[in-house]
Amino acid sequence: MNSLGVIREAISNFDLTETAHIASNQPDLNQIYAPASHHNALDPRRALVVGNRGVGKSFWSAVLAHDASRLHIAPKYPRLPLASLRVQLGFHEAAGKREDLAPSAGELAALLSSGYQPLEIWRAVLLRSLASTEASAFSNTKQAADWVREDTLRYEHSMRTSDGKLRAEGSQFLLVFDAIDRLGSDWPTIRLLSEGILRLALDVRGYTNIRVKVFMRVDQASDDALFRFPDASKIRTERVSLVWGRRDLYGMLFHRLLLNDETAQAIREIATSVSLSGHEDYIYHIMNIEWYQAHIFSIIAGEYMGVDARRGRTYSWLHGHLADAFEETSPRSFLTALKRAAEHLPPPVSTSIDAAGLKAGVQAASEVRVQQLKEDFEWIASALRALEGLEVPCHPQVFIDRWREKGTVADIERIIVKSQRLGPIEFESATGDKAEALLASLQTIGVIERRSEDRINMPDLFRVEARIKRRGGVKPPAKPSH
Amino acid sequence: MNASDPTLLSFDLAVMAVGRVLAEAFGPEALADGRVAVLRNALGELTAVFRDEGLERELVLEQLRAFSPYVNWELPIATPRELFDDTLYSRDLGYWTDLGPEAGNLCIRLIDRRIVGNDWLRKPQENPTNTPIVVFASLKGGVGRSTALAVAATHYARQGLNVLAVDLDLEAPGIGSILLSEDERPLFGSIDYFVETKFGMPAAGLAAAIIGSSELASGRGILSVVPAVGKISKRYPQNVLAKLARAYLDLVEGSEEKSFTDQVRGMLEMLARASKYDLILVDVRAGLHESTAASILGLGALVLLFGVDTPQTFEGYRYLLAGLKGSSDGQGDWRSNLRFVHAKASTDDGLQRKFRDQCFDVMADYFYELAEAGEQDAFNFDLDDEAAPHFAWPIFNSSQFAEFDPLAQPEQLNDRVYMATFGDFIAGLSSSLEIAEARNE
Repeated sequence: MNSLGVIREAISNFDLTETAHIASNQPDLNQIYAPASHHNALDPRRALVVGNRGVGKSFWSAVLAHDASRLHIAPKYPRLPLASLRVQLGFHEAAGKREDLAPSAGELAALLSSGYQPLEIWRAVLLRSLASTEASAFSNTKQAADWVREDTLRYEHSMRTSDGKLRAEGSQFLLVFDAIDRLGSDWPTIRLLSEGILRLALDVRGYTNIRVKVFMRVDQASDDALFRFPDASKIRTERVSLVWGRRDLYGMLFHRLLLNDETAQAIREIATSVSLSGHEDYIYHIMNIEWYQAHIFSIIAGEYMGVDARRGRTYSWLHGHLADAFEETSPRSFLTALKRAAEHLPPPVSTSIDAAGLKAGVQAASEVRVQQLKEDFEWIASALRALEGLEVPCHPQVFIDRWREKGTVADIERIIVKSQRLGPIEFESATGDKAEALLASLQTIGVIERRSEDRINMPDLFRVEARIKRRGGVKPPAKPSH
Repeated sequence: MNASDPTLLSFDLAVMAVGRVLAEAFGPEALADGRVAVLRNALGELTAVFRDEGLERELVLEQLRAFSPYVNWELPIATPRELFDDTLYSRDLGYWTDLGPEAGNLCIRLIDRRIVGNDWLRKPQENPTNTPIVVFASLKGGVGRSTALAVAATHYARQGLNVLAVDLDLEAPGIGSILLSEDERPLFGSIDYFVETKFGMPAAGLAAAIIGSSELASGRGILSVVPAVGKISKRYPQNVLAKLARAYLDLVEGSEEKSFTDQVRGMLEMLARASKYDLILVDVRAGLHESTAASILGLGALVLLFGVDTPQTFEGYRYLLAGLKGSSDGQGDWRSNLRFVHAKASTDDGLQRKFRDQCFDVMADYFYELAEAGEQDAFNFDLDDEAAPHFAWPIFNSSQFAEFDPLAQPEQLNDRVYMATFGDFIAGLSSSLEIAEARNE
């Protein structure tokens, strides 16, 4: 099989199951792609990391929390002390189900109803995670919380001692919080506990070698109510947005292909054929220089979507069509689209994948993306279904009127009550008509984009699956074929 | 509106009124399959064309006559034979005109015969040369079209390409004075080409006599320039207006009448034949005048539509594109030859986006096809799709280039200076033309 065939087969065999992750699971080292641009997200000094679905919040939490993976990526980030870091998970999706110190949502609910303050609870978790001599006396979070609450000065003294020990050892301690939207089953509880975590993050700023890092979803990060406590703005302003740039996504693609000898050879052959392999560090260039990436990709997928540049270039088209309203694309969407493109029939003759495959790929990614959204946001299905048949771009009122007409808000509220899942966070503070709040919530998670006062748009990534049309005035009139 | 109330008629409404009467009498199929059509003559008068002799005229005769003078009183109804024009039997003629929502948005075929403005009705044509052509067009003057052309021409010539710049803005000559010193100016300009060919001067010789060579290329590629006016008009300025009055007339060659579009095509073909160029840039007259049609429809060119962010811009382009919509029926490919250019743009991203969104509105209304939910093949683009015609390339507002005179001020063509203003524009243009920019890696 020639290089192009090898690559096609490799892409069609991409294993996508691992890309979703639970922080307490050990990550597969082969799955890790560590782009330089994620440097800030991994920096222990950056307390708040915000990311949309599928960008890798839980994945990075897992990588940080497990020694093997953290040491594996440490060389990629030489300016970060990853090798000398001790990491524990303060909360994660499987909290309570693993042999670690993260309290489950149930345990947290019990503690709250017993009157413990969130900050006390999290200080307790921190204390136990640091495994100081006092901590060994506690067999659960409650005992630790009692101890913290009884004597604040004693707590602070213990913390300073631990800090000093770490300093002497030359290591740092990092407490990582992930999946915090699962802290409770209703937004007020989640907010309360989340705020506690943020307060803790501010709290530990006083220490030199103890840090807290929180991975947060975009809708929570946009919730002003969460950031009302004193100095909250500091944490918020210094947040890191976890995103994958186009270059990083293609870098990840090539990284995966380079992992395997056969495909690495195929890439080398392609690079040689376009005179790139002569370059000393051509692998670095392929993973990091957009122009090179585009060149290699044009061999793999053809240069254009049509016969010439007018319908777009494959390199930019693919990425652009997978972007959400914030112009961000997730690794999952990207790989899904490519895999589907490599499975598309008939196989192209002179490339590994072709424009028709890419289009099918975008459609597949759209389905997956919307499915993911539905998992995260139970109410999305109803919100989108009601919009079927509408056209974008349009005036925001068009969507609002349609929701009113179909009674969507009432449907959503019914679902929330019945399934005990979370509704849009914006419903919590909405007064009056919630249809507007629904629009705001779709904007927050990047499904709808507000272009101006009287115009909204929905990126193709969602539009296609939501069965919404894109505006165009040309409709051939009914006429017989001549 | 009552279809048979003559007191409410006007130019815009007349065709719809006629169409509805015909639809009511003969049924929508008669319109759809072309058994009836409407002819609008040079004066604007309408005649219902019956291709099927079996149709009963009496059913509609009085109603149609009631619409005169919008309907031709003498010839409210006619078969092609009666009009002495068998070409009217062809059902491909003209374009579909919507009869409005009250008529269920039925369409009737409208054949428009004009004395002036015919070139707007022609179908888009292929490039007559083997060289890519880029047309710089705008509705209003003063948006920086000629400056942009001059900068682009010089840029590519200095990159080593052989560039031909042609000024077809006969009424407001521009690029000639920008790019050519008085010595470099040729004897004749494009205006003379159009005039002298009508007096039988051989086209090949004229083509040679209208080309000047610009020193601004600095010894790399060639920068040839065809100015609108040549040295001879500098010598006899009093005749320029008289030449203008003749330049646009049809050229009669034997039994053939060549329209302005044909003449422009002929000229470019001659020029491209004479010398091997890599790129041809054409500056065209601002406005909706028919002569612009020659360049927009007739050259198979990449057409750059310049505009500033004002309501007049979009209003004007609506008229242009709505008018072209009919004649570009089914010419999908041609539609993607258009590209908007945001002139005097702010560097603010939000304002650039606002301009593009407005361009989207114009294109969506007349040129983009409605994209059904799952459909990927419709001629339609997302708001931020860089490949889209509406994705305008910005040229930033700069006092530097407000008065562009590189011959007097060579520093204006220092690439650091012009790239700040024209960088995005040139990047877009290079990408569309597939010219690889020199890499600094």
